[in-house]
Amino acid sequence: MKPSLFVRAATGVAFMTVAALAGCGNDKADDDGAPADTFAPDPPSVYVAKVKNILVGQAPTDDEIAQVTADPTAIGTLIDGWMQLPEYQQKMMVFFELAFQQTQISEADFVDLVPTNGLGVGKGVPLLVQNARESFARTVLELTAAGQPLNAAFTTHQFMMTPALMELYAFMDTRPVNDTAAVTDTFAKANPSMMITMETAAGPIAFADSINPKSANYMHWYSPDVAGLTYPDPTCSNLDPIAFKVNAQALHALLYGEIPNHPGPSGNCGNRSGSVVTGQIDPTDFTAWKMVTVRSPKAGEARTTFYDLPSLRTATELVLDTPHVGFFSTPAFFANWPTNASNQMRVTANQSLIVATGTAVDGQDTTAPQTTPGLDAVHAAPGTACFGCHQQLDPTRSILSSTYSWFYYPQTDQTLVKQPGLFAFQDVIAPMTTIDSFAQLLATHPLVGQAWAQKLCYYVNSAPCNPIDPEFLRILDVFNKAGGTWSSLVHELLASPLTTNVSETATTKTNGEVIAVSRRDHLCAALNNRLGFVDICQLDSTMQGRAVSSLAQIISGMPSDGYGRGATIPVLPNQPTLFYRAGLENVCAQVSAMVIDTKPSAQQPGSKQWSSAQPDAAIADFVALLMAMPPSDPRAAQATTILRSHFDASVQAGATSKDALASTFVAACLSPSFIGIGM
Amino acid sequence: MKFSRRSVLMSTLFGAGYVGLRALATGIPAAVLLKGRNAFADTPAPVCPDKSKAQFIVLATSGSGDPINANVPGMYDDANITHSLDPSMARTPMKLGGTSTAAALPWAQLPQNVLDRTTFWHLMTNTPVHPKEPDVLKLMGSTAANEMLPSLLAKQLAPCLGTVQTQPLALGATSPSEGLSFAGQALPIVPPLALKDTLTSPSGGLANLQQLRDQTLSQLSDLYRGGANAAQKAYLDSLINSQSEVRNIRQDLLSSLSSIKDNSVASQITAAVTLIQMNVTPVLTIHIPFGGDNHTDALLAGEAAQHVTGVAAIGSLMSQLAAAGLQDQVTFMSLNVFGRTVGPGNTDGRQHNPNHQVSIAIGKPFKGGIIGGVAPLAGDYGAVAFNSTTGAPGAGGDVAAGDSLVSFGKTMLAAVGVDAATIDSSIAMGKVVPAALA
Repeated sequence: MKPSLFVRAATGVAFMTVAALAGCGNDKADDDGAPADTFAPDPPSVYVAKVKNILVGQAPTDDEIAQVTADPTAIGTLIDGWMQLPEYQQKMMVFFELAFQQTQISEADFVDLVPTNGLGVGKGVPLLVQNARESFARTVLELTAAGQPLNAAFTTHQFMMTPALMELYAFMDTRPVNDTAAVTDTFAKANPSMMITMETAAGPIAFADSINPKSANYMHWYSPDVAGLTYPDPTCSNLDPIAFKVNAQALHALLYGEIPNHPGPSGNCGNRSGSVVTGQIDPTDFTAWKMVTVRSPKAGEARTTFYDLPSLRTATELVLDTPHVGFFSTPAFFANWPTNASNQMRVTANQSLIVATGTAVDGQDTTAPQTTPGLDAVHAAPGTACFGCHQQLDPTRSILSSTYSWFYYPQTDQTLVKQPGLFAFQDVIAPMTTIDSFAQLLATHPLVGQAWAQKLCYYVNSAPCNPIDPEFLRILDVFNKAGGTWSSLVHELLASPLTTNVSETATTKTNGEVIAVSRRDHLCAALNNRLGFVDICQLDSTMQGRAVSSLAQIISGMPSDGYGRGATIPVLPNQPTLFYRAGLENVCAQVSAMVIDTKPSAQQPGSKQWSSAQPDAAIADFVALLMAMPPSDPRAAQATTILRSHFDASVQAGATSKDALASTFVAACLSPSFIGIGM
Repeated sequence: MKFSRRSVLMSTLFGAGYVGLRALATGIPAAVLLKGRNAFADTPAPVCPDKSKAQFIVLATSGSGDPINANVPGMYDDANITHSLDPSMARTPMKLGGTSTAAALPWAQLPQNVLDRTTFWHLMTNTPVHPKEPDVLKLMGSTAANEMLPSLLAKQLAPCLGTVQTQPLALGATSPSEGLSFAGQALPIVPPLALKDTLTSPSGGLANLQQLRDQTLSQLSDLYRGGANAAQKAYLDSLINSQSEVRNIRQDLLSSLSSIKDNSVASQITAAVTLIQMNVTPVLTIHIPFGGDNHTDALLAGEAAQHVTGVAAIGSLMSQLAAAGLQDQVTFMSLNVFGRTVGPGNTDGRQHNPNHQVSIAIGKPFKGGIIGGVAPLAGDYGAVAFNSTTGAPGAGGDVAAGDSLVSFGKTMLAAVGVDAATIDSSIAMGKVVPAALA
């Protein structure tokens, strides 16, 4: 049954009711006597700072605020300029990782995907996982930079990859796993008598020789660690060389530094992570990004050889049996949402729908397909309570189970292969023949535009926009007319009163304004981009050789954006809790030690430095950079006075000038406008 | 990329989850959903209902739907129920509240003084899907203002215990789905590894200037307040409140957190006990694996291994509490999104079971026993009605299986001293189960 006009009208009434409820709930004077629900617009000094912080993590300049003060429409021009900065790319990368659900994964999440040992225990594996997390966000950035609409990312066969990530795609393709968890190691199958040898004493072996079938050293690998390995079983210790029967997983693992399981004189000698240097893979193999096309082999064509790193470094194609298209078939998405013989791709389909349309199969969708191919009739026969969801979910997921096994390799069960199902979701009913049909239906679904506008609303305001707010609908219209380009949406929303709060919108009438803490990603970007640090929070594991700092430990407990399974809206802790406040004070204290009366460290050569001998200059910077109050901000002079008073009082209390300036820095760092979005 | 006004409206009405719709669905004003406790500024703060009964709570919760329900007392009377054949999970006689019963070996190995205050609850959460974990913590929509059970408990217990903060704290959540909300606000997940560095006050010269710095921050706050709107003022208030809470953190106990080297269950327990000693929060949540989402688990080997470690973790928590003299002041509870299938054929893995989940309550307020039981249902097994006075399962029970979850919630509130009127206004339906209470 389709919703009636009455239902639609009721929606509008409902929102007015909500607005009235909200108004009643807040219809009180605040502590200064002003009615709490009286709209108060934000001045340019506040909203320019907010917009620039969101986009690039930097503080506004006097000139920028002056431009907007003189002409409020200048904010659009400024936004366009900020979107050209590399810092914008960094921020959007974090946004896209989350929005496309490519994050919240670790090495452990690949064990289901690559049974039974996962990616291995080599020291390079965390870097590979980070590559997997970043790949699709980088892909979107690349596509949008090329002028492609956002939804091109739903159907793309091109992905940003490093040579390491290419290796992972090709490795997995070499070793398919069927619905019953049976692994077919095609490399081992093709080389049934081969042994892989690792050694130290015989000296280095050129990588090219190790992978050259014509070389005497084919599948012989050098590792400085082999000779020094020790085991509880002494017969395993100091074996050199070691040799083990060929298998693709061990070969993959040794590339990343692992010394795989191998036989010893009295039994199996377990795998070891090895030292950093034992990896056959180069550090640059984790950082050299390029667009790579994934395609299926032509007749008689061989698939990409996963361990041939020299070729992967120059290749721009991967030839694989496993199809990969769009965001929902990346290793990161698969690792995030494992399925199984019971779930049968329902989670994969539902999370794909959530990413693309912002809506889940939740039993409320009245879309009723005439046929329900792929329906689990035992569990959800027509007439049962379960049928409501399953009549959409089961036919829709069928294209995934027709394409992939429960471990996300090519499906081999011909019954499932022959059942591609039917897309049936939120008023769209359409046949599917391949996984590309599914991608195309996601990309063209009528809910895509508003879903992504809402994701951006959450990112910018830590709250949704009212979906029937005329201003929200105007932004959607602009987005649509601009061909769905991401930059058009960012420009419109960030310049809109929905973000700037310069005028009252239906959203603010309904929901009020939300002032949220600067969550982890915004906070770390601000620290980096305002103070000249490079990844001060240690979120980038490809930057090797760093011990985990105390600051990074604290950051791991900071509120961060997240998504839960089946949830259509992100989880956004907005409140400054005890733990946020305590952690941030320590973060600020530790940063102060890196920027006051010291020299830039080798790890942070570009960090800002201030001298306690010149407190006025330092304090001026603290106010402008940290508190985001350039001199023209009406609050800047008083803020400067307060901080200068703090410095003086600290010295008078017996503190050294260094400690006094450090404490002044911490105060600025804990100021509401540095740790809150919209202050 | 196309959209229409109709599609926008449809999504709004049907499940997009926007605040306006959530407000409609829940009856909570949208401002409350967005502003949380600030919007409740007019609501009087809870007063301590009964200080003598107040307890700190350690709640184990899992969105994976671990198979705890398969191996506890009450599950060994029906030969058709499948258990691991691993010797470590052997059926073992034990006594609960003076009554003989049986369970998998690990449960029977808990000290008798712990078992004497352990209640096993056979419940139904009525959902087979992982995303409902937050809803189960909200007792499937039966709580006032859609509050989570740990948050209901925290609100009532904070004034009794005088904790630094009122909100509960998630220490072990493995995903945002296992995170907590309080008054409509999502709370951060703070892993054990982050705790020490987070809570330790700055040292050295900065420490001596802390008071002065707080005064400066107060001045800065006043500066912002001058031109602030209502939302900005509310945020400034929150900052002042959190700063005040930080200053109440006892620094002398933080050294206990130094032993934490990872975010394991053991570390979560160490963190929980320490934070209780520091009186930081009334309710902490942890995640103890008991087999996880074990659809594929050959010979139930994973389930067996994690039961051994899981029950040992509970035992460790109890012994650490006893060593700290807290055994009578802390209650352990568990509540998972669902249980798993237990019937014949579940020898190499188990599926989701919306009809049976077992919760555990251990502490001074409880007496040893079993509340409810199971019977064949919907091709597997499900919780059945039980008698609230005796806990005995049976068709004549006054607590229907469908009310078992909310009755569990009500009983947890009653156990820690919350009065009947508050319980009834906090949780709709169900009833307090005297059979569980000491």
